[in-house]
Amino acid sequence: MKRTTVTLMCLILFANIFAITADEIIRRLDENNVGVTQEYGGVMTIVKGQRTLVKEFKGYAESNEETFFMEFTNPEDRGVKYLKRSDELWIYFPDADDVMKIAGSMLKQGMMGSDLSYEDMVRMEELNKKYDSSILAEEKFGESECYKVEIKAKEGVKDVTYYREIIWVDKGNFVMRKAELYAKSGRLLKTMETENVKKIGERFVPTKIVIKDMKRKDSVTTMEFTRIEFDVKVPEGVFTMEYLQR
Amino acid sequence: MRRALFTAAVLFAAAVSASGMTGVFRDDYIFTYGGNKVYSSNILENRINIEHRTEAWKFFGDLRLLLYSGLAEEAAGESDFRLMRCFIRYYSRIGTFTIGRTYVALGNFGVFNPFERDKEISMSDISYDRSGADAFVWDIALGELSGIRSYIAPNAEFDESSAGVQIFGNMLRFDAGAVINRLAPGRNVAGIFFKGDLLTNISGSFAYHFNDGATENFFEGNVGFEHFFSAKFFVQALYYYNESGANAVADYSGEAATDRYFQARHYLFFNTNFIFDEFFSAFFYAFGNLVDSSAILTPGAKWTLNNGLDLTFQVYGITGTGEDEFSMAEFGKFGGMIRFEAKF
Repeated sequence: MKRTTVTLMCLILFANIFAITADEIIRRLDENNVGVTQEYGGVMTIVKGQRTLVKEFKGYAESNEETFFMEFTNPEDRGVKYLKRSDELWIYFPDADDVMKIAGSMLKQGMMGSDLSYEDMVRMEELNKKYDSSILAEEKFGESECYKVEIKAKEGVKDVTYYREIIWVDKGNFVMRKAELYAKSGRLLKTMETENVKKIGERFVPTKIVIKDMKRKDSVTTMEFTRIEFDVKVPEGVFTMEYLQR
Repeated sequence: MRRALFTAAVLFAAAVSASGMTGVFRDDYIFTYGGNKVYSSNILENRINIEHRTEAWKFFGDLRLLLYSGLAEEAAGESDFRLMRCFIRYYSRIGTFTIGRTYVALGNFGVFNPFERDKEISMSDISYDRSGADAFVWDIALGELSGIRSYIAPNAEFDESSAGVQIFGNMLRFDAGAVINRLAPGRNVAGIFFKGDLLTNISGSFAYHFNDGATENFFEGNVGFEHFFSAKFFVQALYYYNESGANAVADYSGEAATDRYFQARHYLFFNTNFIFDEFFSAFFYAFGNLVDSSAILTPGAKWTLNNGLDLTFQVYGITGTGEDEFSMAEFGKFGGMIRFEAKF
């Protein structure tokens, strides 16, 4: 009885400490992350042990249909292009000057062998729509005071990339500073940490993301965005088969 | 040779002002064991790709110089100079126009494509590209994922030219299309193809070949599936049928034919890839002749040593004997290849 009372008191105390709700934190996080359209460019560095690969890319994305176009521009992969529309994916091979439709099952594969899957790359889903959230604690991550928030897929929602996530959200600008991404089984799949937060328009955006796939040993992928703009006017026809073959 | 040198000079001149030039240096050391002897070859390929892109048009050139030694030199000579592709592509309101030496891609991309103009398969590299055709291609977009591709590859006598049309689209998570193609006088093909997700990725192509009077005809087609397991393990299987192929070993003609890849009527292609990470992948692919049960089995592995530098090691084994198509007498008991490839 005494234990129950203490627990209840703690819960009431915590409820008062967090002046902001978990839903509000996630909503503010979404506002930073989700735009109608995006134009981006950057460098992906894949490090495994002593070896390093560098890939450059650019492209456009559109959130409402989870659509993206991406082109690799580094010499080794120059001209390789991807088009994703909903959960369909096509690849353009410059060597064959032809387009190949790829199995949907490939979306979980590491993009160009990195720790970042194709699904991760295009995650522009509004978390509040698909996840239930709760505040676990307030913690410091690096120099940032953060809310530590847990989100879990809502009952019946299956089209989520990760079933459960623990996210450290900066209290000041509502940018995700760290995330732990879990499978339904409870296994930790990946961690993400962000750096170099910049204000782009009304949004705060981390321009450097460090991803570790926990299934891989000694492997780290860093994405550095050299260009990122939200709500841009995407050139006509970018998300089409015709543009993919240009 | 003069023509080749001229082409090289043109490409070099273009390269000077090109906004993008990339190259590939590839060295294949190939060995074969057969008749109690080991034979070896070396193929050194130097490749230059030149690309100039603007919003309205692009130029692309793919020039290769191949140097042969060992057994390959006996078969192909000391060297070979190839202009694989060289085209200008112009984007206009009424479509995309490509003129020059280009691929005319029809049907599903991949091996055993009934709509492919030149039926060639490289046993040492199933994904490697082919020679282009001198053609004029007109692509018209009908929608975001649909369109019409038409082409003409002119011949000295116009009525001997090749020409074809493909219409394609996307519906219910499937890409699908129809093709009608006049490959040469007396050689026509028409058919349909599809590829899409239905639990796994499935594909099919069905082509009907006929002469001008439709008095001689045969059917060619394939069905297959491909799937990624655990996001690392890729499996593909494809059954191929060509009615013009032989149904018994005794009927093998022993000669290459323009409208079929191999000698027999039924084949199975199996391909699997384990992608450990960006630095290492292992693969296994096999071509099986279902008429005589012979096969070429090719396991291998690819290492990425550094940015743009790959090392591939693969071996092949032959299961057929005697008069079988994939027989040890023809291909040796087994062989292998070590490939260094640098892209820059």
